[in-house]
Amino acid sequence: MRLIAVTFIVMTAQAFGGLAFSSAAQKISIAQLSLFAQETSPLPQDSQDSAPISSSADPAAESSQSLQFDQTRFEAAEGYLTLTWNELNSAAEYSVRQDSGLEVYRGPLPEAFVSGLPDGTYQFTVDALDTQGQVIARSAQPAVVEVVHWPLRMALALFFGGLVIFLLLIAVIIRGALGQPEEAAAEPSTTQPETTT
Amino acid sequence: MTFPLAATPETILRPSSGYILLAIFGIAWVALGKWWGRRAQSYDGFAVAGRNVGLALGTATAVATWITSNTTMLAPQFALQLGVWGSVAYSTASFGLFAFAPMSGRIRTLMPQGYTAVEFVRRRYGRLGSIPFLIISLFYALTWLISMAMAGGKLLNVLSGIPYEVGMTVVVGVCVLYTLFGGMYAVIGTDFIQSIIILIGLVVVAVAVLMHVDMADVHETLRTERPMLLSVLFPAALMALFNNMLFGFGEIFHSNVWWSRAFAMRDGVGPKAYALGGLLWLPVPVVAGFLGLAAPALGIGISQPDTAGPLVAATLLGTGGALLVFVVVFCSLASSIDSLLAATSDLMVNDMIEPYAKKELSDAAKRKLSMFSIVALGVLSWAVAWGNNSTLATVLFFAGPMVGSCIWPIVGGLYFRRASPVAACAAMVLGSVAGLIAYELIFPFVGALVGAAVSGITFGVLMFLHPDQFDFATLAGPKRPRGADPQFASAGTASAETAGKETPGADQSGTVQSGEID
Repeated sequence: MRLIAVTFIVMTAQAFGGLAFSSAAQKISIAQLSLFAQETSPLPQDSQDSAPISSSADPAAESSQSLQFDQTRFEAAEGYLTLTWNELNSAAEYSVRQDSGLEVYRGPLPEAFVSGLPDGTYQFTVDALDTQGQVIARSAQPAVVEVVHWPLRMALALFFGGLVIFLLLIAVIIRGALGQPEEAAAEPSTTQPETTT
Repeated sequence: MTFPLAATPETILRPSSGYILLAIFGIAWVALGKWWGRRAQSYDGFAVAGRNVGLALGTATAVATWITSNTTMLAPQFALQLGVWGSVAYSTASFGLFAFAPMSGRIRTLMPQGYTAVEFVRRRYGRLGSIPFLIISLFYALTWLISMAMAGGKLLNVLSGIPYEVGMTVVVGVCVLYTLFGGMYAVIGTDFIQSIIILIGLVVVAVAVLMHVDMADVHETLRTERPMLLSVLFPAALMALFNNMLFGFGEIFHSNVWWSRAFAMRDGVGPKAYALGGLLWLPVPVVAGFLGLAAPALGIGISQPDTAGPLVAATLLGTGGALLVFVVVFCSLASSIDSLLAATSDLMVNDMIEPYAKKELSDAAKRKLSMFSIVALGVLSWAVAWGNNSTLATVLFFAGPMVGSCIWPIVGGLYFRRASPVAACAAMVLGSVAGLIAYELIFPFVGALVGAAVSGITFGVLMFLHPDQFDFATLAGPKRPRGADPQFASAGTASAETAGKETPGADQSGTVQSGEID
């Protein structure tokens, strides 16, 4: 049975391999997210480090390309959050940077998930990039995130409360189960051949 | 609605490839379901596979059912949100299978002719206990079913560009068809193949991860960029750990998906099958969780954390990975949806329709009603899922406090003579209310924990104040709920008496000899 399953998967993969991928290698993605973005379409150095917004855009175009976060103030007691912003038609992808300079997201969706933040205040900016990796718009106002994690005392109380419930449950089940071998031994055998294989 | 066939830059598989895979596997499941289900002539065959499922199939169905699309989506999400603790927290759901292992043996012994979890609660606690339990069971089953249908549409869409409505309709339609043809025989048979495909897929992904990802890089990236994900004292993660474990306990202990399998397995098989199933399942969320943790080191931007797992797997494995992810996802969806359809239809027939009819229905009538129920459940979940208006995690975790509040009434009901209807009812109601309040006001990841704690305290106090002296032997006897009217009781006497005579584990006086705690 295992061999049949493996063979089937291999045959399927062979049948569809080469047909399946999008031809644009730099755009290999699922979930509408671009993969390998940093390797295949790197930004010019200047655009990676506080890049100036492209001067080729005319004022009318710039005004139509204003970029802003949907929400600019967050409080995150779990250290994670999702930043969202307005989508620009002319943008190929977006880059979100922390105030430390760390790029926390690059991809085509106007949405970035950020996690693992310790206590502190963080600012994020988003850049809209064209197909050449040039910045065509930048968020006018940064998103400010204040992270104050849940009190450790409360977390530990819930942790140990859960541990006590778990241990009590296991104790009850084990105590009940320990009585069963005697009961099982007294049962008549009802074993029959397995019929559903 | 349009049916795109050309590749789009946003998807890794072409829609045409996705449609072909869907067609191949859809036809295969329906054909296998029909073939496996050819023995499902009687209602016992259709509902509980003739009560003769062996260890291999029993283990496979436990693993396949517990590996849902949520496992491949939410385990990486947990890891991305809560770090290493999050991954561990998700894997603790396997403890539910370990804990249920001995319980499944006792369930099979106490109710050798049983069909559902609600039936146990009705006969153990009467109407007072069964009403809140039935509401919770239905809410959970429908929530899980709808979230699976939604996950199917969403995943197939992001993997291959197949429109959400089309993918969701095909997934639900295929599962309804083969469950309809073969009932529990078809469900368990297809689960066997699905579990093999899922486990092979996950092993391939795990090997690819080890070959392509430098653990030191992952650790260094997390340490410098996302330090809380490695923190031992991450408060939210500490709160979530036992919450998730108790959520898993609540899901398994109360859900008819697991009870129906306990009834379906041959005597003595349940404890081994559930324990083995737990062992096989345990590493799955660890592997899936690591995919989430590896995303930052691989430079993969994450928009929606529940898609991180498939995204990273496809990145590491290329075309083959995308195909594998697609197939694994389809299998994990089907193995959960079919189980829910079968188990919930049992619940509708045995705990809603038959009690309402106030007479014991014939075998043929129950078989027919089961099929109607499966179709109705399929149509309902399809219609609700069509709107795609809720996130997977929200839908899933909203049920946590409610199922957490069922843990003690179930365990106490199985092992304590003193466990009384008042204690069970109050525990479920107060536990659910307190858990939902905590879920909303404190943090979603404490809902099940608070629900289980309040429920446990309530259950213990009321069991002391209003003790019962329940005779467990009555569970194997006539199909008569506590306080039921004599008309219903007498209608079920003939077959129930037969069942009582064949009851293993009962002595001459009709008292179950052990496994009870006074």
